[in-house]
Amino acid sequence: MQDEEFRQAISHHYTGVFRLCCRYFGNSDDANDAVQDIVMKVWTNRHRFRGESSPGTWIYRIATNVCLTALEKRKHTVRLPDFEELSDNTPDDYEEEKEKKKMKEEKLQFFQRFMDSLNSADRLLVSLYLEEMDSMEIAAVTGLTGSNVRTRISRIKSQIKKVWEESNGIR
Amino acid sequence: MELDDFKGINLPQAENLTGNKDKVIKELQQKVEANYAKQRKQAVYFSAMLIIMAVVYLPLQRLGDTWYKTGIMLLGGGFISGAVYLFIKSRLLKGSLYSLPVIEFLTTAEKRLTYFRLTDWLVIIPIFLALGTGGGLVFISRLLNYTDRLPLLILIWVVFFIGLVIFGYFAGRGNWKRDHGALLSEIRKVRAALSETE
Repeated sequence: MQDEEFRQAISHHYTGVFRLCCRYFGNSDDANDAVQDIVMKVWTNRHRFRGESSPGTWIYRIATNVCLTALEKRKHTVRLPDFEELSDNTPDDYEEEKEKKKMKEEKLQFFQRFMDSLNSADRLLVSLYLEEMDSMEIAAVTGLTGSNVRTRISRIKSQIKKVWEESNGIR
Repeated sequence: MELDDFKGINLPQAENLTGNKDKVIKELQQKVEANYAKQRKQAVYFSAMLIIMAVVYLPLQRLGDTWYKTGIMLLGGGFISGAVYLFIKSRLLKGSLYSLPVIEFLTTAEKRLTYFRLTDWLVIIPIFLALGTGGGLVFISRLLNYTDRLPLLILIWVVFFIGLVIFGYFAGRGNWKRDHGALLSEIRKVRAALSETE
C-alpha cells in the first residue's frame, strides 16, 4: 500500500478507533493518548502490512493491543458527558429535548459502569462489537474463533440485560 | 436494555471529533518523523559507543603478558556482546508486534516481559563466562607481580565475581518487576480470560 492509501485508511478508521478507545478507557483524555499511540504505531509499521487482512482489521489489531497494554491509562473514571448547547426551541420542545438528553446520559453512565465491571478481554470484545464488527471480523482482530466470539458476546448480552433489570427493579 | 442499544449511540466525546481529524493525523505524522530521527540518533550513539570501546581495548591488548592480553580480549568481547544483548532486550515490545492478532500478541508480550527465559540464559551464560574469565586473567596477572599465591587470587576473584553476578541478578529482577511486573500480570490475566473455553 502506498503512503497516501495508508493516510486514507487511518483517516477512515480514525473515528471508530477513537470510539473504541473511549469505550475501553471510559474517558476521552486517555482515549486521545491511546489514539496518538495507535496512529504512530500504524504509521511506523505501514511497510509491514502484507495485505493478509483488510487495512481496517490490521488497524483495529494495533488499536486493541495498544489498549490492552496501556495500563497507566486505565483509570476507569465514569465521567459525566457535557451537555450540548440547547437550540432555540419552544418550551415544550425544550422540556422534551432535556428529558431525552437526561435519559441518554443515564444510559451512557450505566453503560460505562457496566464496562468498568467487565474484565479487559470482555471490555475489548464489547468495544469491537459496538463498532458494528461481526463475529468473524472480531475473530480476525483477536485471534479467537468465530464461535468463541459469538458465545462470549451472547454471554455479555445476557449479563448487561440482567444488570439493567436488577438496577431498575425489573423482574 | 440490550447491548445492541448502544450501537447507535455515539459516545459524547466522539461526537465532536470528526472536524479536526485530518489536522490531528497530520500532527501525529510529524511526531512520527521526529521519533524516527530520535531513534536514528540513538542507533548512532550506540554504534559510536561500541567503536570507542573497541578503540580503547585494542591498544590495551598489546600491553602486558599473554594472560593479560587474553583477559582484555575476553573482557572486550564480553562487554560488546553484553551491550548488544541489552540493546536488543531493551526493545521489549517493538511496534511490529502490535499488528499481531490479540492472542498471539499477548503470548509474545508475555514471553518478552518475563525476566529471564531459557534463551536469555543461553546468551547471558557465555557472556558472563567471557567476562569472568577475562576479568580474572587481568586481575590475577596484575596481582601476580606482588604475590605468588595463585590459588588464593583465583578464589578471591571467583567469590567476588559470583557475588557480583548474584547481586546483579536480584537487583535487576527487582527493577524489572517494578518496571514491567504490573503489565506482565495484566497480560497474563487477559490471556487467561481469552483462553477460557466456551
